[in-house]
Amino acid sequence: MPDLITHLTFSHLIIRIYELLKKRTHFSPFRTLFYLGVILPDIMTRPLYILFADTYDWTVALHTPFGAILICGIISYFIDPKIRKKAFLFLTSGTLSHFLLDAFQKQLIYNNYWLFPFSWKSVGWGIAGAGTILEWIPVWLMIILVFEITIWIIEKRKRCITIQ
Amino acid sequence: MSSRFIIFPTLIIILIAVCYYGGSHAPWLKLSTCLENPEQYDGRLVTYIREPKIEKVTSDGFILKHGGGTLPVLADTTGLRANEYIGLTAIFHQEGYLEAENLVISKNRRYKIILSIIPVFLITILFLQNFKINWKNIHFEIKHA
Repeated sequence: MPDLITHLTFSHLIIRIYELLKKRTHFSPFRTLFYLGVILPDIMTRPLYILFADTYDWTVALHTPFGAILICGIISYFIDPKIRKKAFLFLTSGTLSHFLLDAFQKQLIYNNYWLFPFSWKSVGWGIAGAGTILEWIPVWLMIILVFEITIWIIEKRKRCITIQ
Repeated sequence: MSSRFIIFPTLIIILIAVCYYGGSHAPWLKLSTCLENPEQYDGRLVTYIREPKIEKVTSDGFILKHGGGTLPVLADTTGLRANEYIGLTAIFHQEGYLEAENLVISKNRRYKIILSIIPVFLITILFLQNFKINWKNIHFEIKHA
């Protein structure tokens, strides 16, 4: 799995492009839920088996799309019923973007069980190792910066034109 | 009855069931399992080693430090350094050593763990800025709705 900064920057681009397509310019609280979904598979499992390695087998289900969607469902029951469905969708989308990025990482053994609990087949394209991905963090941050500045300039110009 | 009292416990039960299934049907062979019964697992491929780390590089391989202790590993020592975390699959030998099959150095693993803490803090702050807890109904709602 890549580090969480890489996960977050990658997913930030996804949600921002989605918001732009929906012509949303202001920050939506649902974006927070999307980000939460992005880090969810790792925060539910990694701390546990870094501290207690023997728990790995028992927590592996939580780092699968099936397990993570169940957790999103459980979390969404702690969110206002008026926005529960939308919250669930944003949490789940974030979680799925997590698994999408994970699939690009080189795996020595099993890791991406997209079909769990129906199959233990590990899915992925194995493009870069975790250590290599980490070295690209500055590049990701630069992409985000350039992206956000560009959006900000375009929005500012639009507002100026509207006022005129 | 509110769906919260039907669907919510159902989701919890399914989650516990899949966690149990994961734990009881995991396909990998653990080093700890081999060490408990060496004769039975002689010549088998070990695919899960708890926190594998190189303790010392030797002439024909290295001393592996894992969750349960240390074990010699026969391997190509090119590029190996002590105190590096690694990814390893290896053939288990009942005499008490491993023969590396696949080995990769987990580059920057410590940094990866440390850096991953930052987004957790950021998202927690962002969440608390945007949502407030409704103690009466025990749920979060948007702050400025």
